[in-house]
Amino acid sequence: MKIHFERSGGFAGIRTTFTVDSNSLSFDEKDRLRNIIDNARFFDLPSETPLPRRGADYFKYKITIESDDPQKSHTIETNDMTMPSELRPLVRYLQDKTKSKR
Amino acid sequence: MEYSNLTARKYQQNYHSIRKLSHVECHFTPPYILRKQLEEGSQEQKRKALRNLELSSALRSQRRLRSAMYGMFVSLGPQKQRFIHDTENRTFPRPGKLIRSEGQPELPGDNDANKAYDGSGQTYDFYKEEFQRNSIDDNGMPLISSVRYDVDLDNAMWDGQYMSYGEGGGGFFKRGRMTDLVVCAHELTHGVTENESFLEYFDEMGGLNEGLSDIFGIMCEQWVKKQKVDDSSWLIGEGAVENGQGLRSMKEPGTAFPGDAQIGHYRDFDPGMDPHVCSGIPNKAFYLTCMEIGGYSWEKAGKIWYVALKDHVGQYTKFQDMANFTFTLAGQLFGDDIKKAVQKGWDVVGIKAKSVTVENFVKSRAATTRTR
Repeated sequence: MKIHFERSGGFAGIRTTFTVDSNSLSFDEKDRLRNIIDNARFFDLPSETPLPRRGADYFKYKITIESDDPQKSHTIETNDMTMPSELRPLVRYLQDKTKSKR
Repeated sequence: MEYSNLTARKYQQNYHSIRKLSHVECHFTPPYILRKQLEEGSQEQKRKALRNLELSSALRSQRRLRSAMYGMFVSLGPQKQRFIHDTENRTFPRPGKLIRSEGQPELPGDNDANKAYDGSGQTYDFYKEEFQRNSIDDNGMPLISSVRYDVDLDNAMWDGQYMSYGEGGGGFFKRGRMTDLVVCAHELTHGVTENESFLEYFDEMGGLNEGLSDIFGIMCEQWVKKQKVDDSSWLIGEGAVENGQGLRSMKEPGTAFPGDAQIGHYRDFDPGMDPHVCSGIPNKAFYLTCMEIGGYSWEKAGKIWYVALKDHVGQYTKFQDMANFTFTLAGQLFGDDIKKAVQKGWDVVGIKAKSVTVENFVKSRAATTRTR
């Protein structure tokens, strides 16, 4: 499984991209990640959440997950303001991943 | 003092109910998706969509109720009403626990909370003293700041009701610098712009929106430091980033840090750009105008930009419109020399300012939200 994560916008307006390949993760972490994705019901969530009607400097996110078994791919575009709450743990996980990559 | 204690008490009483309402707000699926599920979904999806549609209609009335409740504080008078909340390193629920209200003493050792309190207060004072503006909505709206948003987060945002600040230290910003005065003034100005114009947040409108926040942000910083235009670095977030002089240079957009992509000329503009990238155009035009005029930025250029924002900027105002408004207003408010200074500023960034009958551009106050 591969996860492509892109964060843009924010006060700085800087784009950050990052890819996680689950094959590179430890068994425990792979398991944890799978749980986060299952709990988010990622593949059932709509691919777009509406753009906020108010606010500024929020982050925008684009997440694509390519799964091998079963073979499927889904992309979600969302932001800090209108993000479905079930997606928050996944965004948090990916943000942390981006940080430790530095 | 008694007055502000009353305000704080009233706020706390109401806040409990507001928080309950905001807790449910983020759970909603947009009605158009629900309607689609109702039409095309499986039996299970249809059942859920129906329930969610009922819920989302209930939420809409709750949101109306909530803005009416915020309105209750507004009537308390023409004075600062600051409230600092703690999101406790989470993203939700927001704004989090109330930790300091107007008139209460500093929180020992809580740098971000105290800076957000001081920064929002200085921004309030700047708008009040220089432009006779009473808060974000010009009607005494409480200034609500939420600190410790998320963990090590390199961001600050305006969310339509309040300012949220991360702690920084995520690799790009230095820790504790997300609550700098210029950031507070930048975010609070997003609130002012939203209340005045509902200026869109994409394309040229987005760049203008971001530009206004940087412009009033740097002006507020200069005002607090009593700096003349020659004494300012014209850097947004000077010394606040790990690698570079600052976040954005209004003088030379694109040179603040290695990899800074901001543009400073209209020929480089592309409609799909991030608003923070193309805001270099209006930022530089303002900087150049100020340097041409000299003295304090807020006295003449600031006044012109403020009148433009308050009376003429609307939902779809573009760079050319802003150039025309500021050029025309400069002549009306301060005469030909200042008008020429404004023209020169816009000229260098590739926009030819023209005289317009600004009275024809009195914005409609009908809009209540953006279109997208």
